[in-house]
Amino acid sequence: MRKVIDPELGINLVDLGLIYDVAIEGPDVRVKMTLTTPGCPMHDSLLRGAERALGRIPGIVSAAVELVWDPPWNPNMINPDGLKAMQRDWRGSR
Amino acid sequence: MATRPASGGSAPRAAAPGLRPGLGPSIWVPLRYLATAQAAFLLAVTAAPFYAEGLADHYYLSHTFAFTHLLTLGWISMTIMGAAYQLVPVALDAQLYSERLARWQYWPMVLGVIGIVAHFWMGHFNGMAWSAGLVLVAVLLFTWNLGATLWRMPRWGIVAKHVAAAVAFFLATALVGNLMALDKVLGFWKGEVLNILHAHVHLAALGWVTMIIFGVAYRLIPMFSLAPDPDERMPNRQFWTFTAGVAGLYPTILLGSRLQVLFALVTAAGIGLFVHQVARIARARKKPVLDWGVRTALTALGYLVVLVPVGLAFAAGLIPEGEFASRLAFAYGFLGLVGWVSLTIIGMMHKIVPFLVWFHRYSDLVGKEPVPALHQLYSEVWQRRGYWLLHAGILGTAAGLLAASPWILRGGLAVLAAAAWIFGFNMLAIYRHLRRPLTLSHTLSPAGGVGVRGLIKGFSKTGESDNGNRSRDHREPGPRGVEEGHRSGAGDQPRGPGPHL
Repeated sequence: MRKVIDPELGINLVDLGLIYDVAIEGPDVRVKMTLTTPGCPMHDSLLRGAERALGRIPGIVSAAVELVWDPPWNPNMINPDGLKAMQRDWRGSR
Repeated sequence: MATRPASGGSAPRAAAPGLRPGLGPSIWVPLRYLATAQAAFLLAVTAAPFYAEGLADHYYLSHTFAFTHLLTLGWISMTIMGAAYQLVPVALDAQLYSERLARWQYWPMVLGVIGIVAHFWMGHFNGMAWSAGLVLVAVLLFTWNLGATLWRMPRWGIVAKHVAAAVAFFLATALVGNLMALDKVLGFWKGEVLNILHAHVHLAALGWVTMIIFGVAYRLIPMFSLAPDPDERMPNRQFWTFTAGVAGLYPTILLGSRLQVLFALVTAAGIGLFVHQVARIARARKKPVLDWGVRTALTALGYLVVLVPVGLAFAAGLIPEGEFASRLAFAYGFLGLVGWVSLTIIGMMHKIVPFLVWFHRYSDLVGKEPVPALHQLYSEVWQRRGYWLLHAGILGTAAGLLAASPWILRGGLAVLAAAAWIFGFNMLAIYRHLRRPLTLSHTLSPAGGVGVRGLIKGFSKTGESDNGNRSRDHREPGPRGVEEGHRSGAGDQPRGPGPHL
């Protein structure tokens, strides 16, 4: 899931804290994820992107991504790597 | 190994309350407005240095009105219309009433703006009145479309209230503008011409433009700065205060009433409450450093804050009539139009246009191959240079207006034109992705994007980015897929804890 970035923030879904749960049962994977905001304009892109990324992993036969809103995402869910990436990204732009 | 790209039917998707994909219109609807608006802006700022002598004169001149309407209708209103068609469905989480109306509305708007500007320039007021009628048709279609969108919403939040009020004030401005245009032909309006003009300007600048900027900001600033959405109590107070102030300002300025100072104070209080809210959002943000687009929009707010005491002084009659008052009024209008509004728009265009283009060009590639981040579609280096040039040009032009000096004006306007062209090149760099997307063979740099240099080089497929970095992210997923190590598109992002998928 680190392959899928939020294009606005330039940070992947995992480091953004959008992945809530991953359940692996043999070749089947179910992921529960959220978005930064319910009106997120990247809704379709990120969900489909996550599904595509899972589907490209050898060994996975079926992958399902479920969008959940509880608990609502908040910026405190970004992990330290995500925060570092944001700072590094900004330094690169100077 | 049989893998199934899981975009098919088995993926259960729990839609959020009210969240439906594809709420917005086709990309080409907002883009045609935005691209036309940017062309109008470039035309105005490129031609302005050649009209420096006229701008050193009184502002009540037909040629000056041509420039003003090219900016207010061609640049600002066209931009807001395009951005509204893109952002209102996102910000309100509601389906746009009619994409077809939005497409139809473009033509009377463009023809009307061309007609108004050309006839003001030629001093032909019959043609100007007809053209104003075309703009009114476009505004009616816009009002119908957004009005119907709002009407179907079960509840109006703070963004919807601002949008509704802004559209109502826009319609009022267009109606008044048409009456003013007809008066130029028929001469029926018995009133002080400068009062009529000042009332019209404030209705448009505060009621239409500032109102919609305030409303959309409540959605976009938290989104772009990673801050929680503000509690609606204070924004609601701000909305009603500001709306009451603007609604009272128009008739009192029109009639030259002393009550205008009261409504100017109420309007100023509304602006103060908004600034307070923005400061709270900025303090609560999680994003460590704001990008240049948001920073541009936020510093534009500084110009609005500076203009408030000037407006209050005019309303209170503290500035004696005469040459200085006329120069100050001209600089006040210019700083409102360019310092506050245009700077806000330029900042937001670096967010909205990349999103539109990215969504159209790269959305389907997410998860398949590396795609650029939004800020990699243009040059942030040139954006930053343009930011400082914009401030220099705005302040230089305002100084020239105050001093009534054609030379200072010409210098300030030339710097402003240079900054505007940097903005234009960056927009062009973004639009180029529509025809030639970055692919695996292209360079993605952490920050530089393809930008102006890429544009000038003709976007060489093997070209380097602004800072000369070659991508480290352009590898097809290997046999071990993501484990091969495609990291964040923003660069070398180390892995953190979490499921290794």
